[in-house]
Amino acid sequence: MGPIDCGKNLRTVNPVLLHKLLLLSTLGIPLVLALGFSVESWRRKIGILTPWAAVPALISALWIGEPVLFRLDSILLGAHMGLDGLGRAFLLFTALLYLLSGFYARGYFSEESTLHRFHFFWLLTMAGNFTLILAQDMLVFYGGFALMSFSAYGLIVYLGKEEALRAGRIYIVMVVLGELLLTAGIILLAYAAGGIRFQDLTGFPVSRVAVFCILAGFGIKAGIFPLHMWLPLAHPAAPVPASAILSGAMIKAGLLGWLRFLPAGESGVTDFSGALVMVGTITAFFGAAVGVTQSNPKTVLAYSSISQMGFMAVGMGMVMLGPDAAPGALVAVVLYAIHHSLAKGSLFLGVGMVDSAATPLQQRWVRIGLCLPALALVGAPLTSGALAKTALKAGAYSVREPWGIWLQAWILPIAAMGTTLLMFRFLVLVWVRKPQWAQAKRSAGMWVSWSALLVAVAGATWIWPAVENPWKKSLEAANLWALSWPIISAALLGRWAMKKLAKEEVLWWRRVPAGDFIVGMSRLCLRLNRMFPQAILTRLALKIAKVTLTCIDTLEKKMARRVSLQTELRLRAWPNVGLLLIILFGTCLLLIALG
Amino acid sequence: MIFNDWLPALIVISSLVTGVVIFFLEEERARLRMGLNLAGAIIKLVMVGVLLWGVFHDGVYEMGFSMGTNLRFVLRADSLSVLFVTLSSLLWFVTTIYAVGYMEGSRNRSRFFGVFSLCVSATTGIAMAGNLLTFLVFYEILTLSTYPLVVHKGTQEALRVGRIYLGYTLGGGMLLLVTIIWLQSIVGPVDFQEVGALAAHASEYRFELTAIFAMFIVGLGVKSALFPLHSWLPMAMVAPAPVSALLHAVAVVKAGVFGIVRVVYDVFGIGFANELGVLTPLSWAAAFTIIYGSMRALFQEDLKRRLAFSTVSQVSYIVLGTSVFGPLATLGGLAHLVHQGLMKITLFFCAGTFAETLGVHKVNEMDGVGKRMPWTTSAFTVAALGMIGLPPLAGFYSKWYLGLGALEAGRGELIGVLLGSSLLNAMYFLPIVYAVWFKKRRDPWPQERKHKGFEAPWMLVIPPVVTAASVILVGVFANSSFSPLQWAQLIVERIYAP
Repeated sequence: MGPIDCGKNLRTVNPVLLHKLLLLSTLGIPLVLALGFSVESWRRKIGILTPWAAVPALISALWIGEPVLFRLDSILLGAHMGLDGLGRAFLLFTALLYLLSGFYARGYFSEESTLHRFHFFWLLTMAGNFTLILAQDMLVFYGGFALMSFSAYGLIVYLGKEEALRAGRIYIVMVVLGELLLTAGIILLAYAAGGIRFQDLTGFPVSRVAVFCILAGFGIKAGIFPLHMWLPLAHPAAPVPASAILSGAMIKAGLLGWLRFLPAGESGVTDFSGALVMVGTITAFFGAAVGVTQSNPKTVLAYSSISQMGFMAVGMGMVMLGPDAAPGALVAVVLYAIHHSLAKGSLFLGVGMVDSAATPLQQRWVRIGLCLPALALVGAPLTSGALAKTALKAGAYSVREPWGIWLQAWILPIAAMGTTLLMFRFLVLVWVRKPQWAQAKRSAGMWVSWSALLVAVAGATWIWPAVENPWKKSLEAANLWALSWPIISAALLGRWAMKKLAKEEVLWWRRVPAGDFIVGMSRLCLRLNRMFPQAILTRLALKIAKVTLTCIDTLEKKMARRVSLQTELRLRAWPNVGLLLIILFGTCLLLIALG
Repeated sequence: MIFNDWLPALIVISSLVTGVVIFFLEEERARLRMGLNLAGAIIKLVMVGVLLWGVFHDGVYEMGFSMGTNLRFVLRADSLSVLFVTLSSLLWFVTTIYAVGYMEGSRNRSRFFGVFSLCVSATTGIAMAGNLLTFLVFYEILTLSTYPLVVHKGTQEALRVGRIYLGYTLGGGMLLLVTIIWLQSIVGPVDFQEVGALAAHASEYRFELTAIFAMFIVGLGVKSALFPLHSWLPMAMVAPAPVSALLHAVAVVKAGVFGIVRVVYDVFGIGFANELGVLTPLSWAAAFTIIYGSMRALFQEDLKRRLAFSTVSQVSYIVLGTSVFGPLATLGGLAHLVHQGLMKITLFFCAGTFAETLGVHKVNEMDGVGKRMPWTTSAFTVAALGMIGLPPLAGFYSKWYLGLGALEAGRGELIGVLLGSSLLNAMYFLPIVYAVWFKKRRDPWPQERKHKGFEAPWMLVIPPVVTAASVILVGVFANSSFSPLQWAQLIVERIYAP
């Protein structure tokens, strides 16, 4: 029926039943556990099980080697799910992060009566996140994406402070806008492609509107300038384990969305390649520039995430040119995602470690431990960051001249300087930060999972099969220099700035609020409001709308009443009824006669 | 087969008989009344099940008799009727349970339930009417039988609104009568046919047929609450909650829309209507109503009024789907006929339960309801998210197919209307969802009734939970063979059959 073939003729690789069950359990188990919270007496037990819910996903990512693809006929419009190479990479780091952050959360929150709320939203977010990774068609992806986005609201506002509620408000507005853009984009894509599977999304000219909707819709999640506003507010407001998965796993879902939905190399898509590279560059610089002005370590990390997503957007811009024009770009982007996810996750969890460190010895260990992911993030040689950055730079060849050379020689290294400054700022803030909690907690779980994540940061990228070339390259002399000069110069710059700024007590640079634009705008509105008490535009518009609608309301009611009352009064007089009947009868007769 | 011939009539009669018997029942015999109600509903459900199976396998169910020359009374079940009959009999069953719980201890229950059954009987009659005349008969019965329900409380306000309601609906009915007579005088009696009946007369009566189409839309537009004929609907909120639920989900509003669907597809025929050029204006009227209703809903403080304006908006999705030429849009509109019913009845059930248990009527009184009544509030949340159109809930598919249909017909701008409405839906539903779950309760409830053990009487909680679950199920299993979406697909295949 119609032009939309929902994949009835799909030749699915008939997967091993065990693989299929395993993949389904990755989302089934969190969902079932979340439903279980409706029974009050089970809540404690399910709370204990919650971190384990990520285990099937991790097993799938590690164990299922060959691509799996299957179709569930009666679900949605025929749901296509499976695990391919791209999905496997994303599932691996996402599952690891959920698992470790889940155990971390157990130590992080002491016994709280509302903890089941956190666990409930945690499980739903996880289920959504895994679903979108396993999705092989647009609807499944979109469903998972919506589940993840809306459930994460519960994590962000969990602490219930004013700041968290405000962050949540801005977050949810952005989520709804993103959903609308995605709906439009998906409908346009599905109509043009004549199908909803990702494998249908090739070989047709994609309309620019569709590409724009997809780029912007997922760009909100990925935190791309100027759609990043929710990010620096939400990350610091959320509890530490939630920030870790926000930054480590969820914003990567935006990237995965781009990779899955945009058919690389098709005409409409390549048109946007240059624009995305440019926007990515701006994002990378902007995040670093605003980030160094912040004084909350979690906000600094949030801006660092924005900046890093800028790098990934640059990579995505290259991927969009198509596999022939930009070989290796895809690998570079995926590497970068894995690298950033693990490093940023452990940095966020590290902030919680600083807060809970009880003894000076513990404090020292935390600080030393934090240096590892920080170094990885700035791309110091021999870390995962070095691999990712080298791979990304190699891809820059494909960008149209002279941009490619500029990207390689200047733009990316200078952006790396920005990252270094950010990490410098972060470490300084963490160094002077006092433990926030009065007494030490039962934090064995936090220590174990944080350490495990550090091990992953140190090791994971090195065992990835696709990295052989970048690995060698990152150790060549020229590359060593290319990697280290931005770091060294930025570190010197940071040191100088610290002394200078501390001495002169220059405060202007601390005035940039977290959430930059949106806060700036609302402050501007407030100030305008103070200046012209009556003239604030939004309020005025709202007022006008309200007054108009109330008028319409009254008018409507009056009209309705008058019409019916008058009719009724007239009808009470028998002659009128008779007249009316005669007219009605006459009309009918006339009509019959005419016909 | 005699049974086959009589099946449509039996389905109509089953609730008619129940209604009449209940009407003469003494007030105190609550148990017997409930037994009768449920028995009637279950018998009807079984028969509808048989009908569903038969129509799916191309069975013919038709009975009719002559009422004079050229006047035939015909009851016939085609795939479109089955969609509506199934919806109304399922929701009638659920609403009966809810109503029994809701009306417990109030006065005039025999009158209420008697008329309630009559009203459902009229709805099934509308669904299975085989020609315009039969349709009109049941349409008017519906008007008359809903009036006592709307004014049931008997207050001054209720009576006043009742008059307004009658003024609007009888006016619409009268126009419909004139239109039908005119049409019949031109082309003779018109039976509903799946490919339309009027194409043959196209060249002769172009102008007349255009005028007739407009009159049909105005006449039917009253009940389907098309702007500017919608004012009665938000006012009719004085009715008890189960009545509002039924009014908005299956009975009155849906009857109007169902009439429009019949006129477009089975009287004019979608191809002919498209060629006549009457579809585009209709689609703009629908688009305007969609946005207008949502805008109005945004500023309503009263929960039921907000839901009522939301209905004004949502019902026009169906009209929009009908007025855009092409199978995908039709599919979206027809699926929404069912999906909107499930979602809206859930919302009204919940609103009624909140009002009954806690005395909460206004949106700003709802802070922290979730903690006190988690089940009802969960049901409300699911339905509200469905209304916004989040996948994989039912409402998403309506938006999806309407959007695809708009593209298919080269009317991409309508996607903007759909998205605008989704945005507005989010703007008036999400603050409620936020308030009920995340805000803390400070003041005591306006008027709380305590119940032992559970959050509210089970009869007020189970129905919304069941319908909310169905919102999830029909969305998640949209591709399974008896989902509303698949049934709508069957109808579409028959409408657009070459």
